[in-house]
Amino acid sequence: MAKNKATEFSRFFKENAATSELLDRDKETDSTPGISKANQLPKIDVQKPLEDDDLKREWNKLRNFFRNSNAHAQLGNLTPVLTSPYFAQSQVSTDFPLWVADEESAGQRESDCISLSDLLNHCISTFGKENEEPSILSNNVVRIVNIANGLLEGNPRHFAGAIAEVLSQLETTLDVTGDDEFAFNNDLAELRKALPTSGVLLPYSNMLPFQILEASIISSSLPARKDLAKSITKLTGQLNNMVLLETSKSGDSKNPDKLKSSMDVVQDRVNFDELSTLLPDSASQSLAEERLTRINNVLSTFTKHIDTLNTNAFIHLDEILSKDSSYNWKGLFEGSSIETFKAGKGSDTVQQSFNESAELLTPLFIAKRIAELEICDAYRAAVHDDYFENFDWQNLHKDELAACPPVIMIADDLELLDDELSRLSALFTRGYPINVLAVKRKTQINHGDNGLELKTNEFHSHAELGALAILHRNVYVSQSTAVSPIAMFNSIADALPLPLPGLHYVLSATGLSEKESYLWTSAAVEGREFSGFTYKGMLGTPWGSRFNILNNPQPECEWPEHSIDITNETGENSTLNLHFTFADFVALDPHCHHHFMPVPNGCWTDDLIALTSYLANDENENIGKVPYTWMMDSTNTLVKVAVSWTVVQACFDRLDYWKFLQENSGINNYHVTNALKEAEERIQNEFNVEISNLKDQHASELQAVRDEEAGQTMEKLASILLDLDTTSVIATSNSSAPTAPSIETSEPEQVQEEKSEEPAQEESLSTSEPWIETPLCTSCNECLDINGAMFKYNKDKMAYLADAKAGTFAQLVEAAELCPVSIIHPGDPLNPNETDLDDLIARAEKFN
Amino acid sequence: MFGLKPDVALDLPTRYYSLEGYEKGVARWCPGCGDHAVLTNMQKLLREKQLDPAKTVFVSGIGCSSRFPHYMNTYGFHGLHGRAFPIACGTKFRRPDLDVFVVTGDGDCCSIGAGAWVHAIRYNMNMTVLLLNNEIYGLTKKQASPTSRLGTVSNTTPDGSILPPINPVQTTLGVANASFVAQTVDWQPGHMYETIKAAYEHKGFSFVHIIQRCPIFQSGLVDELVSNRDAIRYMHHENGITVDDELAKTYKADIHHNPTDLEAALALSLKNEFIDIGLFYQNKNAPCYDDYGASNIGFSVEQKMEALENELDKYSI
Repeated sequence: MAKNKATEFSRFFKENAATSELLDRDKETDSTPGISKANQLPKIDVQKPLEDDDLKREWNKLRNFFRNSNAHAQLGNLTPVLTSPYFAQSQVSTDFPLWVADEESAGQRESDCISLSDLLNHCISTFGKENEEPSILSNNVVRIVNIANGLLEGNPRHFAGAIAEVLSQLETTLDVTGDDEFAFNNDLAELRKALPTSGVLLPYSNMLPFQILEASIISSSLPARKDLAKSITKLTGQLNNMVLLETSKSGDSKNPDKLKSSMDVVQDRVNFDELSTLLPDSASQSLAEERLTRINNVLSTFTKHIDTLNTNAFIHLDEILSKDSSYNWKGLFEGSSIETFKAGKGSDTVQQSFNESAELLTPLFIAKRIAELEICDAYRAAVHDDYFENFDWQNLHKDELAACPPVIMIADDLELLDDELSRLSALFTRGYPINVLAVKRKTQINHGDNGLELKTNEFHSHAELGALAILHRNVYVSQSTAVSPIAMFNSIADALPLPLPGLHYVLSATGLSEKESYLWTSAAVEGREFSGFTYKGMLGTPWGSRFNILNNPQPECEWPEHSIDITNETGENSTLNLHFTFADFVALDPHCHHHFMPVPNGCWTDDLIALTSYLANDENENIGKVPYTWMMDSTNTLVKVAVSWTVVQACFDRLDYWKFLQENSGINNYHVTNALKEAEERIQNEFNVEISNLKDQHASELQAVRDEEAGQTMEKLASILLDLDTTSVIATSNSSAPTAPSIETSEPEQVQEEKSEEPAQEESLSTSEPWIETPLCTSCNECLDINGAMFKYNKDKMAYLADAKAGTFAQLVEAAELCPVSIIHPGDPLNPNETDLDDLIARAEKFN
Repeated sequence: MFGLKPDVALDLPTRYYSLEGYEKGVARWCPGCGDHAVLTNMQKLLREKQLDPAKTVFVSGIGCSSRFPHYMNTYGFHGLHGRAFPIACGTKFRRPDLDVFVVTGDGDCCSIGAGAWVHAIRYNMNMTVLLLNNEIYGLTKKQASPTSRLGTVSNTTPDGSILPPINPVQTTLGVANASFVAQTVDWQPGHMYETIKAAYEHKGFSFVHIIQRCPIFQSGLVDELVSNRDAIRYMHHENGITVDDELAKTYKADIHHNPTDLEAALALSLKNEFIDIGLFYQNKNAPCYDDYGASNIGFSVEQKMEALENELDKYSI
């Protein structure tokens, strides 16, 4: 038989064989970095120093790469260290799936957009009792969310059907039996009652920004529009009654045929001709002709324009997006009118659309206002005729505007920044309450014409649509991504009903799988490439109060910082602090890998510095330095990877925009920091002056006392020497000694008195009611064997007194006597007619 | 990081096990026996950790307490007298994926099984060991055990035992590579639960000495121990075993003890003025022999045969 070294027994017992074998098996199941090695920390390999010549050669290569990048550089399977948790995305929980309200449920709950886990926790908290241990259900919220995510398979579903399936799957999976079954089923029934009956469950997908827009439209304007339609219907009824009443006052109503038709039961017995002559003319006053005309006009306006309220929104799509087959626009915005506009025509189109809708809706609101005035007979032609004559949409109240179907433009951001920019700016300046959803579909990194070439300047200073919109001052600007869907919903739903223009800049990762898209989007936020913020352009409010950047990872820092446990080069466990920078985000794009070069660990000299230090340093400090970022390979080994000059410049640019946002929202503000510094210096100076004054004062006082004491001592010494009388010195030193200890002796007595009172109180409470010290029960079955109805086990199998009346006092006493840990206290007999009570009470006494 | 929520959900078990899911049959111990309390606490621990019964094994030797595996709805091995440890070590050596628990008594562990006990401590394999010490041979109707107190009158010592008892905590601490030594009493279920939970969570040979009542053959001792709540002293430390504040308040005596200090632990174990409950000693970095035991797991029968043949070939002439 051929010798096979690999399978000799001796090899099995080699030290560390077990660990390496087991790890090898892990590797077979999953070779992606970062997962399945929970028990193996990321490690840094021992450094292998290079010979001087080699070192010089490597560094020349490195410096050359830094300035020019290297089209042949390969990152291989290296990934930024902090992205590794994402490779096991099934193991992390996010805000998904989301519950959003549909037309039926909009405005009925506290929030119209909430993560399923929050919704479940909220519902469970409504029926869970306070201070109770968590139920099986509340312990399994994460499981429910996981099941739901599995069920949705990336597609939205109606909530009622989906959650029913999820909960029945949960029942099957958990298979709860025994004592817990009843409580669990009860909780499930309560949960089903507490959950909403309608709405939509949304998974994470590339469509999310648009789904959120639809949900925001429904949530922000539908309830108001429903109310408006209802009040118009009511007004129509009231006005119709007025018209009817007016008709009944006319002579025509006394016509015998009219009378006959209105009294069909007694037609044979009444002479209607006679009746017609008998009836008097109307006593009440008729409506003025002009009022009647006005009312009829109002009614016809209602009939003509009310249909406009049936549209959810007027949506205008840019041609590029409308042709993109990955979006199903009709399905996304079912109740809205969708139209397409040509490149460069967006702003004009939406403005026209707004004017058209205003033409339809303004008369409706005028009619409504006139109707309300007419019903109260408060319409004064002298005042109101002129007012309504010149009434246009700008006179509408903000609540009325909020009830109008919003006019929305959806466009690709590059298009908006190109031909459309000046027109868009004009639109914003005019203050039309039009909302624009700008979609950033690709990474900001332009790949050049052939996808790989990257010119130095292409990374930096790209125009920021959000910042441009902010400069109009009166625009509601929000920037958000699908990884923080609730923030996205809140800002869009907040902006839609406002009488302001709105620009909502969203990131949509088309062309990537959902997992990649989530990673990429998160990294864009984390790397400050696409930071979330809102700017609420309400004129008149303080500038700083309009900004909010809290929906970003670590908004107070320049770059988010995280620490991970690692094994360092000496084999010891330590902690590595890492920043997630824009460079890490860029490294996720395979097209940009030539901007990164792994550095052999022999070259890790002092000239190789962390990218964040490079960015923070003065220019002079960076001379001769090359920045690096940490990356990790599939064996969890940490490697320093050099970053090209182009990417460094891009990092500067990103940091600059981030600081713009930070400063505007009051974080690290230049002026505030300076003012603080000045104030600190001023206070410190004042303090120093005060200290030195006090010191001088103290020194002079000290000197005075010393002089005085020296004089007195000399005098005393002189008198002692002269009189030889020593008693005066001894007497002064002992004068105040003996009184102090009296306080110490008095306190312990008081404490003892207090302590001795406590047991007396306890004893007076302990008799009468029977009870068990359940937490001390040792589950020995003794009491349950005596009476299983009187004593029962709780869910932790510890005995409690279920029903003291379910048995006799004799049984209670017997149980107390048998209990090996004496935790049953029989109390007083509940039934005074029980036999041998005196004897039982005597036996019970020692347990009470 | 990355805007991820911190409640990362890993490895959800396939189903939920309630307390009844771990119960099997009716425990045939005497009424009032301390074993009942240990059994219930163990079932509660398994419920909290949601251990898969098919991946859990209880190993015992001979004695009252060694009936334990019969009442757990998991895999179990009611072994030979004094041989719980070798069976458990063998199991863990070849099946590192299983959760192994050993339930042994003062006779099984400290008498006939003492040799295996010493080596099991040194091997420090990842398992939880409960020594249920009632200081008497109960199953065979009252004979003095190696842990019976001086002067214990029994069928084998009618004039009272004459040798000082083995102190299991002291003995365990004295063996090289001991990594987790704790003590509790069966009539303090709250403390016992926290102790066996800490033992389960420790990686290595977690030894829990449970001072236990035998209400039939040691009834006098039972009354004395249980009724005297002052006899217990609560060992506390941030790295030790902590019970909830309400329970902690009921202990009249307490002592601050650092469980990483082996000398202090030994000194404390020799003092008899109180029953000290809590963690005497823990060393999280002690080497575990089972880490080396599973090197050829996953090798097929053919590969093993081949290796055997290769080995035998060395001796062919």
